[in-house]
Amino acid sequence: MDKFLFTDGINEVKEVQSSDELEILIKSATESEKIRIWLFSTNEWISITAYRKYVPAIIRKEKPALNNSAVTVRNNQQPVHQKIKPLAGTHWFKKILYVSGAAAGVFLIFNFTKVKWEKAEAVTITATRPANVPIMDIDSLIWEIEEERDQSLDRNTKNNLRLRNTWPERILLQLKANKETSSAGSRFSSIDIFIDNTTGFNLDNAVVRLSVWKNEKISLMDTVRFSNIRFDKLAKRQSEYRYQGDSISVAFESIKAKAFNFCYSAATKNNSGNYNDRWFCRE
Amino acid sequence: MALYYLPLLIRSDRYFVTRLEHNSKQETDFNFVVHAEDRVLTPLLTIEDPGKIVLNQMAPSDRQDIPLKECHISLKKTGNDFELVIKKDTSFVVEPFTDEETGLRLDYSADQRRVSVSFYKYRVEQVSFNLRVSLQHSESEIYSGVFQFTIVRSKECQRVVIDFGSEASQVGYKNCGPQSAVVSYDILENIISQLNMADKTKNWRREDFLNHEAGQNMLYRSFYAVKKRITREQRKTFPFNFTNNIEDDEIRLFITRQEVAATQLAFRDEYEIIPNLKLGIEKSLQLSMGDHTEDYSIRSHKKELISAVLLRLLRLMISTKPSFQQGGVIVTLLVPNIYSQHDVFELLNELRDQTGNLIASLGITDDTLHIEYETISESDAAFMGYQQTHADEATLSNGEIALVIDCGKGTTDISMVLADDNENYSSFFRTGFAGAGNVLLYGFAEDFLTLVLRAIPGSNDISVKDFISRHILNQNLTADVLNFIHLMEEQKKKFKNLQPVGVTAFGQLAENSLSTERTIGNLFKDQSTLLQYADAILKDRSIRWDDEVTGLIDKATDCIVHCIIASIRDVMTKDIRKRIKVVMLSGRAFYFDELKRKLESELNTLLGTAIKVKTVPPGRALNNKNVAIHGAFSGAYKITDFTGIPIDKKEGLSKNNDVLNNNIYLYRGIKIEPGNDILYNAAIVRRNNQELKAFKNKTVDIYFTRDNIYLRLMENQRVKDVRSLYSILTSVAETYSPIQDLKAISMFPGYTGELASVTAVYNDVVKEKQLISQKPMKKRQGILQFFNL
Repeated sequence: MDKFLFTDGINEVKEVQSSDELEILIKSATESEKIRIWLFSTNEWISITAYRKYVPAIIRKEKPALNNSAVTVRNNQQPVHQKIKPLAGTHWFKKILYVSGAAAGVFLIFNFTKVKWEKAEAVTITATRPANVPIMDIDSLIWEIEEERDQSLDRNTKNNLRLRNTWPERILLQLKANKETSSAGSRFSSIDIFIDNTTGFNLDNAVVRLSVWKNEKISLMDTVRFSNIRFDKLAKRQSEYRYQGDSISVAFESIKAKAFNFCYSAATKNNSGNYNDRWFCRE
Repeated sequence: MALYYLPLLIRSDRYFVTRLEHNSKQETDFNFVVHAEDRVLTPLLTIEDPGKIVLNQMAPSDRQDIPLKECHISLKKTGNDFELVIKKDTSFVVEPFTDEETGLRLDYSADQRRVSVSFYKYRVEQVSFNLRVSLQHSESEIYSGVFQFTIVRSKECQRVVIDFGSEASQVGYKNCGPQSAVVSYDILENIISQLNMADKTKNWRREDFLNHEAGQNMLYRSFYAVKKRITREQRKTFPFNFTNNIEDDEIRLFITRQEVAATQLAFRDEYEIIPNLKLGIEKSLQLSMGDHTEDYSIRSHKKELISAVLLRLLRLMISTKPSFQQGGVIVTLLVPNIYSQHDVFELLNELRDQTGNLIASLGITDDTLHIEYETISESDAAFMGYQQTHADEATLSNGEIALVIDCGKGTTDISMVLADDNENYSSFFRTGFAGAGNVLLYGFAEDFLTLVLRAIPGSNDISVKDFISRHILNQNLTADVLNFIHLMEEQKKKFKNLQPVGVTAFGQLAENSLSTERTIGNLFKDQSTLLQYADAILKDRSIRWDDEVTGLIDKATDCIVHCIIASIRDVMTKDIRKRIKVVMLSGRAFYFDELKRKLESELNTLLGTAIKVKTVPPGRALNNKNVAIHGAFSGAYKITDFTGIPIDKKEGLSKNNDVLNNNIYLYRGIKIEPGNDILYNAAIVRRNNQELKAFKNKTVDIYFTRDNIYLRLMENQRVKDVRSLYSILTSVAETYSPIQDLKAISMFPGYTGELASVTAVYNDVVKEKQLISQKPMKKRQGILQFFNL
């Protein structure tokens, strides 16, 4: 908005509605060093010199440069300083430079991004202990429960309690996959997932979560369901898919075993080591 | 030694996280008033959902949390008092209990999943007793807390809500009997009636007082004065020496216009006016006791001074209403969000401690009248009021959030209120800062003064900042200053209806008198009379100056909007943004349309255009100011007394299902994922904070209690470490931001230091905005880095 206040230092403050009107007032003032201008939406008067610093910016926005001269004429011979524009004659050279550079770039990009996969060493990954199953001293827990209830627990109850709270040591989850690497990263194929159940009881079902990681973030997630997992042999599933990422991991999503009243769920929050028998269920 | 916390529901409307300590103390931790009807079972104390409840252990020791489902609960009578005994056992057992004499009973309802200590009598009579809540590990290891309960007949119980505003206060009350309505209490009228009774020659009128707000009789403008000359004896219990002579009280609840006139020096010698008490101004009083003086800091005695004012308001109410002089009173205080859990807890304790003196000063015996105090956030209460009165516009489903922005004059309060599936609400985010109303007022004053002292004279010779400092801030609220402030307030209020005039026409405005040539244009020539004559010239006119000349009002509005958005930007995780369904704007500052319009536009940018922005329309019986009073009455109980919930900066609330589940977070705490920062109101606690070293790579469990917010670290099934969230917040670096400048500005004209100009704050705002908008440029890689395209 081109609105100003103007004073020539002698007469009263005038309101000015446009920069053209302001230029006329500046021109008509007898002592230019006494001129003060107030730009709207500011809180002080500025001198004509300070005002001139603002003006070129305003003009450059409004009018395109006609030639490369350092001074342009605005509103009847009022000289206003402007930034010098570069010579138009150099533009064609620069354009050629850009175009040839871009062509070379396309060629190089094509050349460098052509992915060649090389076979790397096969990976074997074992699931880590879930955060919501902290390591517990089951003997002290059993002792404490017995102490509280003032009666000893029977052998089965103790055994089931032990299995439920130490299951990561007895139900092992492993993944084996072929790995290929290239400049674009890694990919995994021929994925085998094994569950080694050493609890001595059959597990009714288990859901395994397969996560593919890229840039330290999960880029893909898949689940594999197992059922009737025997304790006397390895349970195995094969995945035909090929996953692309930096690394791959497996974890149990859930496990159910009626035999020892066990229901594990990864969605259950960590209870910070509270000893209550959290994976107990009876369905 | 261990320390346990157990959340209890008092009556059926107040959560109270009970602290159970290992000692045999007899003094009560808190007192409650319960209103009961004849032949109606009335709950005193309830443990909800005992199957899920855990007694949280909060001290580093080998003692662990105790699930209530492994406890035996019984109620014992010892003399006149009772003890709720919780004993660790193998299974959950509640031993029913009934005492015919007092009517107290203990029951367990499996259907409702509630253990309740309740009261039932054929005819209710007022009775008081102590109820001790004890957790027994063994005969020698007992943890307990003691509470005093007073049962009163519903008709003899009153609920009082005090909105202690920094600009204006208001009080509403309601009888606890059936079908009673909220009634407003006219504070000033009752003060006047007491003054007129004491001195029948004076016939005071409302207009004689600074506390009067024209057209708003139920609003009492918050002007108090503190007596500077007191005796040594009075100092011992200062400022709680209650007296019936309200004119000579050490905390005066009223100030007359005559007393602040420039010629009246006697009043200034005797009293100090304290504005913006709620924000805690940086000022000291010189208390004089005979030949001895004391530097009495207002900031460090904020709690006492606020309690003293609140208790005097309550005392006035009790003394003028016979029905309040016996039975029970439940007082709900609206508190600003800048108060921490500590502040709220200490304020409540101070009020409780001094209530005995107050009751005694009225000649009422201890056992006749019982008072309970509780607090609610101003913005939470505003939302509840709006929700109760405009249910169709603010209905939220389970997990949905309402963002409430309450822009008052002295404080701006922001809350996010989360709904559960039971039509209860939890306030999980609260922040507050400078009052938008006062910042706008300062913008108007600076705008006018810049025009009069610089633009119209045509020179930069006069400094507006110096003028404000010398003629407004250092004048200690003289009549001229107050009239000028009132003039600016009027201009602000009528802004959109006043016709703007150009600088020349504005400069020519003169007084309505033929004998004077004084105009706006020559006011700058005598600065000592500028305020006085500005008021005389502009009063009752229907024009205003051209605000575009300086643009300061616009800039002040931009600063407020920027600070509001900056306060909530950090908490806007993807999850929370998705949950916000309603935005509610309350507070009188939104009557300035430009603020509302600009804020709405910024909120639409931040939250999307689909978001509904609601406000209470002006000119109705229920307005932007008193909607909070109604909210405080209407069952905002789930959000009482707690000052925000810390959340996971990355996950928001998405991984904390307990938050959504009927306030179970009070029992189980909140979890912050390993590695993620903790967001508590407007503060961010980084996970690499030195204080959190022990919590590295671990989930942080955060627990709420009445007096603190704890971070607990478990290791090998033991509580290894407990930290107070507030202790960590003190080490969180405080960065400079325009918010701090606005806080000082919002104390205008009561601020004693130097105030930044609106332009300076605006320039900082622009810089901050540029920083936010400047996304880091991704460095070109490979062959592209050679091309400067």
